[in-house]
Amino acid sequence: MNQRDLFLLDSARLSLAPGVVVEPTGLRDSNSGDVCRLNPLGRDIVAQLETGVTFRALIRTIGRTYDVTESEVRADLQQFISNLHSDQLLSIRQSFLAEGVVRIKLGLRRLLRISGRGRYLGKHSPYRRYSATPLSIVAASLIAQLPTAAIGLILVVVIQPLVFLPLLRQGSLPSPGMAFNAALPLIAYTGLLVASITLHELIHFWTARRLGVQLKSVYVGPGRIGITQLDDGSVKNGIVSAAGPAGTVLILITLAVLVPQLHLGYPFAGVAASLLCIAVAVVHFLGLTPWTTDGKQFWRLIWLG
Amino acid sequence: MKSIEKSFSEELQLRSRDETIAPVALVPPGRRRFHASGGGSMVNVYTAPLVLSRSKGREVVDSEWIIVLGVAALVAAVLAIAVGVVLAVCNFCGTLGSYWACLGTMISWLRGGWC
Repeated sequence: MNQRDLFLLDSARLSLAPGVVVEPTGLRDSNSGDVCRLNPLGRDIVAQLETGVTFRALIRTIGRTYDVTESEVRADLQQFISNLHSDQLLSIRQSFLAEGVVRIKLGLRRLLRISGRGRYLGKHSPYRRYSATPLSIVAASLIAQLPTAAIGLILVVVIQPLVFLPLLRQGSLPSPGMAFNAALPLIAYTGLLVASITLHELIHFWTARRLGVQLKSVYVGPGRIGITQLDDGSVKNGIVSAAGPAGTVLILITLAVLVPQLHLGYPFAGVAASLLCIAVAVVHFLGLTPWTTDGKQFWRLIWLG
Repeated sequence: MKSIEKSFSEELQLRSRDETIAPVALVPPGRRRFHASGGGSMVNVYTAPLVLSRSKGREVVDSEWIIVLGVAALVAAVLAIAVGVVLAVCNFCGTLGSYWACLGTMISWLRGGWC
């Protein structure tokens, strides 16, 4: 099985990525110039992707037309779609929530050793792709961080009994104001994380514009967002990649220094806000390490320099 | 929407490309069927959708923010929870105004006391 195989749900909506057009022989990416020649069934399928179609509908249409089992069509389509997706020719809109639920179910089944039908062949989440504009970058950042926001919300609820344990032991309940105060740092942290990621991507966009690097698309998966730029063979790509994490870290460190001087009411509030900025800056700083795509480009830049 | 049913000529093209043609034993009613000369019967022969060839244009570079940085995010979340606890407890006890008073409150809280 191919490692790039996607974790595709039946409800996933498949369409062509921005800039990809259907040609008589297959697909062409008008941004990068990539051409993909397909066999007749492949061509028929991509013709349907022009208007968008769900994975389930594709399986059914093929199953009705050909004398072939559903599992066979599913496996073949899974492979075909995974190939086109890894060539960045497709945009796949799949509910993060539905994917999360199915993954948890499968994980539990594996844990409890309950055998079931091997329906979902792949393991990678599919990406949605949008044109690279400031507005779509902001929207994509917010969509990508929905799981982050959800985890933040869960932690806000979890923290309450922890904070108020002594009070609960005395048989009293915290007031709504107290509960809000307890949740405030987590809400601030989650908000800051999401805002900083949006800033990170916008810095990539701005730097690319300034340096004249052409951007292909913005892609989004659960907890994951990225910008695809066209390689012009110079150090500019490295600068665009490094600018996102480096710029965000600089802004956050500046905020961490300035915030305690704002007199937020309590001495602790300023320190707490400063700590949160540093915590988020650490997360972005890791984006400059060689284990991330930005970091790889950054280190390539250093190496070339 | 374009139909994905194939014409006879397309089927012939398929076969001329030496692609695998799966043998079909039973034909459910309603399926398209054509007869090859010399007898025998064939239905819409299914061939898996395939990428025949790719010609690469310009290379692309991805700039990605990913929560592989999950460890850092987790550390930061724990830090946020710790700060939240300190703020909430000291605020409740009215000791947020002084570092030492808040520290005393937290020590008391850690020992299971309250204010």
